[in-house]
Amino acid sequence: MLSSARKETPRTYIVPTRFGFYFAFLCLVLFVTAFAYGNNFLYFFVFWMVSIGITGLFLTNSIVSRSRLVDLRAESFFAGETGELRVTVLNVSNWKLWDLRIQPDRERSKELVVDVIARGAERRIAVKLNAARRGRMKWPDLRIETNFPFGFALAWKTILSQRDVIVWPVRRGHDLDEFLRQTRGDQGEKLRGSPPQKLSDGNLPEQFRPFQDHDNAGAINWKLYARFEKLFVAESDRDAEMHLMFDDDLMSEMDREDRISQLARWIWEAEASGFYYGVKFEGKWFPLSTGNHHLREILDHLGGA
Amino acid sequence: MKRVFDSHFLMGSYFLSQLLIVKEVPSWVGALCMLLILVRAYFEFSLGRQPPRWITSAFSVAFAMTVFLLYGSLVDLEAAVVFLSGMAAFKILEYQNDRDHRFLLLSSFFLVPISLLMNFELWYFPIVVISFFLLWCAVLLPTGVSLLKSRILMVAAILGVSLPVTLALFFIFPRLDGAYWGWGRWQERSQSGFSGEHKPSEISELELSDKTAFRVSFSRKLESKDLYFRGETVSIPTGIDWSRGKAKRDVVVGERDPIDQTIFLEMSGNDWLFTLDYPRRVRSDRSVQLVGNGVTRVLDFPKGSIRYEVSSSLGTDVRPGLVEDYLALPPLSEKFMELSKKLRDPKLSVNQQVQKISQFYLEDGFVYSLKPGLLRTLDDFLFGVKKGFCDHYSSATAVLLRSMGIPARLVLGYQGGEWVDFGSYLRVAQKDAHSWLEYVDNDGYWRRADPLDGTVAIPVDQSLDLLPSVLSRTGANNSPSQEWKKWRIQVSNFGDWLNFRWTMFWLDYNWDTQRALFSEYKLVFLWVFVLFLGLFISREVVRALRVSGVKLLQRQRHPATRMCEIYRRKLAALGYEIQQSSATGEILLRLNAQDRKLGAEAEKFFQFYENSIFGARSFSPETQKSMTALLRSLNRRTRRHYLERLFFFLPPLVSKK
Repeated sequence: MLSSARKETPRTYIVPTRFGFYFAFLCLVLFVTAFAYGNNFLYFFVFWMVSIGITGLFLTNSIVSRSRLVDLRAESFFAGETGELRVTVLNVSNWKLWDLRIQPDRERSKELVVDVIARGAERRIAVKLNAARRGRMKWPDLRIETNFPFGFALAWKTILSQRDVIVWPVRRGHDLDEFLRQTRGDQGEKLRGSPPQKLSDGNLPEQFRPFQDHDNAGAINWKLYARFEKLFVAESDRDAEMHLMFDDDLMSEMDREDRISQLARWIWEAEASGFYYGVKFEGKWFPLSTGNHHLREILDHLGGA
Repeated sequence: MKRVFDSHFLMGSYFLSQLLIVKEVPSWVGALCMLLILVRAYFEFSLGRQPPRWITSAFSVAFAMTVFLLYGSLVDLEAAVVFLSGMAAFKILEYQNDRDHRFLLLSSFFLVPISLLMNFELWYFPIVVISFFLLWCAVLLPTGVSLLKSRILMVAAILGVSLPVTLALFFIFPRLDGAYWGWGRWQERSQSGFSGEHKPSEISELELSDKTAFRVSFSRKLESKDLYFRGETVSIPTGIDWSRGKAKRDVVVGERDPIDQTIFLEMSGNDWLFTLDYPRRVRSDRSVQLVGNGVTRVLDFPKGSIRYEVSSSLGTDVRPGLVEDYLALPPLSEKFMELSKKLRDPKLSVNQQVQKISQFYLEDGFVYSLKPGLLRTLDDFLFGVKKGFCDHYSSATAVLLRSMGIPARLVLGYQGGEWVDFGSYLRVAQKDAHSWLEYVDNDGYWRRADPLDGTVAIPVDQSLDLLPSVLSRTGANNSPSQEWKKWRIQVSNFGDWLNFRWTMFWLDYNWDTQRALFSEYKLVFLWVFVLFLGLFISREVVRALRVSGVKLLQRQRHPATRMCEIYRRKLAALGYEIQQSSATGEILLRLNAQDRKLGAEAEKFFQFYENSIFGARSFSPETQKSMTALLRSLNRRTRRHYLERLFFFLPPLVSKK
């Protein structure tokens, strides 16, 4: 899933740290001393300290406000596993950015430190994502902060994102290969993609077979329909390969979540094994196919179901 | 605890700050502090560990108690500085984590500037700046900038950037008088005062110091015999000491040989001013006044140094207001009276009588010495040790003259000085403090007499390390002049000139100076203010218009669009027919027809532009770099084109295909 952070520039906040307060108090004491003694030497150094402090605050604020988070991307991931929110930090200022800490707003332990970004350069980082349950998960708000250069103040801004990522179901249940071995009997044949039935019409070319529910409508041969008034599709090479149609009706004795998790695991393994597979889940059909897009389509559906 | 910071900079800064205050604290404290830093450096860099805390804690407590016993307090300025220096040194010894680091930073930020309460010379400034710089290097968080060079450069940049604001604050902030205004400055910078109750020991102390008392520039050159700067006139002898008294004012009869001087008197903590003999008019921003008998005073307490202009007449004839005021005698011994009778010769004129007394000092084995021992009476000087300095000789001469019925008085001030070429002024130092006498001659006018003016060469006590100027005054400076000494004097003079500027423009910047500055440059300040106000208002107006939705002022174009516009302009400058409305395809067609290479470049450029503006690709730094490179290439072509047009009579640099 690809998105950019919200277009409105988030507000940068800055508050003095405890060390900053102590430093300010010290400046005040020195200022009072300079005033009481009318000492220009001291006045100069107090004003210099104050100016440096203010310059430091300005720099602290600028580092945060001049950093942009662009090109935020989060890939769907399985519940119970770790995903990634990939972020590109861009320096839009005319100077370097130092000591930026980027972290999910509510999980400070996952702090990522970007020590320095050159002028106009960018740095890619990845924030870890965790989810216990499947479903739609809102991207975490990201907090960028720094107390560079002197630690007198802490500046931060929070990038609020309205985007979300689909967390796929937990992959659990029986192993596909083992299950296929065990159930190669009655149930197994149902689960295994059965070879398509051959049409009995004698003059039907051998490379065609009748249309089945899980077939792609685009594959229907309309010439044969005109001739036989039945739907036929071309019998491709894949029909000779292993193809699996997972039907949740056959798993009705299982709990719904377990069923979803089991399906998630099987289709993941089927994809990994290079099988053609389809899914029928709660009335929704995913025709036989293979590939990353197909896998994601099914997993997204299962995750959001 | 976490340790992010390293201690190099902190230790360096602290070591320097100790150097700054080492003469203000007892020597054992300074030595101890520096030793502790060295011990810490040994632990840190050689052993790679820290000394145990309990040792430093125990020693800290012992140190605090010692300071308390020595000073009876921990809050007096000196006690506090000693205490803080020592504690900070102990803290450095037990430096272990970032909390310690921050604590030490804060205490050093206090100690470094606070040492400026006691040191005012220009030479402290660079040391304090270096120490200050190292402190900021120690404050800088090392996470992002770990390399030493980068850290130094970054801190230098921040300090440099903040300097204009510092200077603005420094000059603008009103210098109102605090409770301890100028505290310590007169002790440190100048003791150019005697007191109304004059004691000879005061001058001997001054004569051992090389600090500047005042600087004078003249309207014309003067001979050294004229360089007598009078401060106070004392007329009542009380034994060997003198007091001011209330003598009637002198009467000025005639003026000759006028000279103007501009005098810049260092802060002295009293109200005396010094002028060449004999002052006639005095002028200053401050309230100054000639109070009679050649004495000039400032009426309000001097805040900082004083600049005043004086017109003096070197050959003025002045009569005493009342002769009897200058004949009073202190209780005198018979021995003294006998000496007086012995020296008195009615046949001699008053001037000759004075010379005879001077001759007596030479013949009777008197010696010039700044440390003659404790002299309670004139008899101790004349008949006892026969050693003394200007005060003793002048005082004895004046009383001897009075005992002979000749009115005389003692004048306190400065004599001589060093000419400083850099600023064309005479630097008069404390070591030039001097006293001489004035007597009334046969015509009834005051005449100056200085028993130590060199006309009578009184021998000098060679066991004392006297300053060259004092030796020269007594005529005893016969040491051969060496080249390096000349150099040293030149350097010292240059240093004094710098210090003079420093004092004038920096230390003495006060409320009066501020007012003068602002009234002088008020129009400039007003215009700068109006300019900034105008800029601020315009900025706010633009912002308000933007907020209210007026888009007219918005000029935020995409950088790619800006670059594209420039590119089209440059192409037009090359002579291609390109209008505002020309489509990219049309432009490319024209270019390809005339210059394929340029056409290919332009195609690439427009592709980048279109991808950036309309396509999915964002305007990445790489894209920007590529577009800039193409734009530069076109720039080169344009420059070449201009050159070819300019030097049309030469063959073309590159022939167009």
